[in-house]
Amino acid sequence: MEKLLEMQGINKSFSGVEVLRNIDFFLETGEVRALLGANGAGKSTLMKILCGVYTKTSGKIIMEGKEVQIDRPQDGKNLGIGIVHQELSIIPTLSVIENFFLGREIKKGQLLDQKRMRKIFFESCEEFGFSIEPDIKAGSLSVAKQQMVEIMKILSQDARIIIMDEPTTSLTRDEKKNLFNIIIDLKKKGKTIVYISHILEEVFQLSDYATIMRNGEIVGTYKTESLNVASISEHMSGAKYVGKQRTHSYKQDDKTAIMKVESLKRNGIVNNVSFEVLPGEVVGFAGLVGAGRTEIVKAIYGGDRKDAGKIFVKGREVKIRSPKDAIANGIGLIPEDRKGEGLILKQEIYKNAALVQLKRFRKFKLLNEKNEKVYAQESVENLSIKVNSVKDAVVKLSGGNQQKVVIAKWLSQNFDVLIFDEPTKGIDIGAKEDIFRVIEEMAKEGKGIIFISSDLDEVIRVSDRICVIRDGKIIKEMENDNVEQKDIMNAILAYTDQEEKN
Amino acid sequence: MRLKKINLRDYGVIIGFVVLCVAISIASPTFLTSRNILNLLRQSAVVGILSAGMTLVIISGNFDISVGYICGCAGAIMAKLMSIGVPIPAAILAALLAGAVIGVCSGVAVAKFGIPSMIATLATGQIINGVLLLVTGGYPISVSNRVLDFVGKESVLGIPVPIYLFLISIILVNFILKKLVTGRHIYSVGGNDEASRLSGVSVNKIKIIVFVISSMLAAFSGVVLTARVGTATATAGVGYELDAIAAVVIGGTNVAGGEGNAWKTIVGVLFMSVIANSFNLLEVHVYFQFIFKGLIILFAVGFDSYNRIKRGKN
Repeated sequence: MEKLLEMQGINKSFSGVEVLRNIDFFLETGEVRALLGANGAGKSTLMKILCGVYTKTSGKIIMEGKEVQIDRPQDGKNLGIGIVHQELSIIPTLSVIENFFLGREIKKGQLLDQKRMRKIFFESCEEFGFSIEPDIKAGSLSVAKQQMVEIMKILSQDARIIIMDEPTTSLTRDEKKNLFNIIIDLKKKGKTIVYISHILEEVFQLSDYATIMRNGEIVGTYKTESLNVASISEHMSGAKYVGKQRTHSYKQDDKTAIMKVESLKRNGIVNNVSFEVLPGEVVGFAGLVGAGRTEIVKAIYGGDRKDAGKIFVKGREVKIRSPKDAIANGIGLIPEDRKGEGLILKQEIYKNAALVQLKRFRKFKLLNEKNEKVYAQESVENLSIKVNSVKDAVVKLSGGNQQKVVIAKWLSQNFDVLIFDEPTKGIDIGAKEDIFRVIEEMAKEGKGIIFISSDLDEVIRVSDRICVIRDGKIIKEMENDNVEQKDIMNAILAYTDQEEKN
Repeated sequence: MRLKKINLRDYGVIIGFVVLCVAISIASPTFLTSRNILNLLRQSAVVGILSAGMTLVIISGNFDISVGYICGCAGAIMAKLMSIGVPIPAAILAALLAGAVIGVCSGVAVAKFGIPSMIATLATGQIINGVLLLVTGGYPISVSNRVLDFVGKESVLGIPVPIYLFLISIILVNFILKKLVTGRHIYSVGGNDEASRLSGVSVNKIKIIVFVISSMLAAFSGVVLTARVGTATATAGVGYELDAIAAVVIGGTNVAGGEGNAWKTIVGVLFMSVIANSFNLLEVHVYFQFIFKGLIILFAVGFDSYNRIKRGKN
């Protein structure tokens, strides 16, 4: 196969900090290439240079034997390089067709040529086998459909190289399957795809070759068949892979529940949820995306209103109407969306870390930044957060380190119950291990933990008991005695079958 | 190693201000006379007090465009009460109380009903303007009182009293922002209100507090203004809100909220009044003053925003 694209000796620095070092990377026509690496390894940066979002500090890009200049996103587009971003660039208030033509509207004189645009839109739909209603607001579509609109938009611009940056993080199982079919189809049509993901299963299923990055350098490019989880993990981290063992259980069976939820309801969203968490117990919430896991914990925490239900902490009923009430009663929540809900990105690390328990750091009733910084510094060491200074803005950190700052925020007080909602989403293996360690330590101290993850292996590894969630209710509760992925999937499928019969 | 990097963004406004002052003092020898400087400072005090409150509002991610009307209305309420024989402390208290009530209304409109602050305060401003016209009947009410004369016209240690009051307002706002939990919460809400709410911050309460403080400071500035000119008029304070917003953003407070600083608002206030003062001294027509002020705002905020965009792209 001929080399479609070559990047030679690429270097990139952000205000003096080197993030890519002497990268050589190539792509062949019609391949699916997985790009792997820990957070901050430089995958996204490299791809953003390729499509012109960032400019390289030095190095050469060669396409079909000719050197090309890619300085702006427009240059990338003109060369047929398209990217589907991790955070979609769809404008929710515009219709599908308006999004599709955004920035390249077809005009007749000075007016929009609606007729021609519709014609082209339907032609593209047909060509790529998508069916999307052109006139509904893009924001009302599911994430998967929005993604389809983006992919279709890129394809209609004659893209030859399509970069997908963690495209499956918000998709349901069926939607994922659909996306994979699209990718396989594109490959057949001779398109080249770069696939960035943390989910190795997908990588094995889809890719021909995998390029692994570490600390701004390329470790190597391997035939995917020749790799396995252990070898990938080793390449990514440079350390030996330990494997998934279930950690020791610290559950205190003899004690009264540290938290009990009784008949929790939120109309149409949370349906009669009851469960208990014992001291030292980790309760895992497993379920597909959209099953209502986040909605249940948000209703407990007072982040969303609830319509009915009682919550008991250490046997005493508590009234929770807002997150503030929850915190006062010893319940904390690490939210799913760390950028939107977990952090104040433009604020300093120490201010974020201190926010939940500001009063604790005061001196003579006045804020004391020194105490806050000392706490932040301790957290940086305890959680091995990679920072230059606790005075840096959080926005500068990589995803995994940002997540650790959110966790630091919730470790500032002695909570009885801590809810982790997708704490491992989009972060690398090393950071995940650090988070599991925190959970284990909290269990050891006798706290109650609710752990939510879309990665079933993680739920199985961390939890003492697993609640399977579907349609905003607990459809099955099981003690974690060698529970396997398939047991959870079976529970979900059995329930779905049942529902369909009714 | 504790080498502090000098950031042009942090000091740009100060450098610009110094350059402007040097240039003017060369062009007009009267500029640096103590009489002119004191006069300039006295005139900037009213907008200065408004700007102190506006700093809080903008850091919280909001705008308050009713403060000019509150300033005028509070002055009129005080003057009217005095004219019917209410003692001065009670009259001042009533003016401040009126400010607090307006602040609660604006705050509730923004926090509980989710009306964008620009629109909520546009509406309250109109209402207050109507009340002001009702109170004054459109005619000026003159006041004469020893306490007011002291507040508006006297000097202590050679420095006019309004300047002290301006400084005290800034110190107060700075204290709230840097030393109180409420202040930190104001930054947090301005930075990301959903993340703040989920961290246990009472977001609505913070928003209401911000509008109450700002409105009370606006009412206080009305008292100072009335004391200085000796009359409350129906048009007093009109347009001051825009000067205050300009001063705050020239001082480098982020218009999007979450970042800012009360001290630098002083520079913004002085910047604006030095321009006005120097144009008078140099006998440049007032029309040019507006053009120049507009350019300064564009330049100062543009410099800031452009840097932010560039940083974001990198």
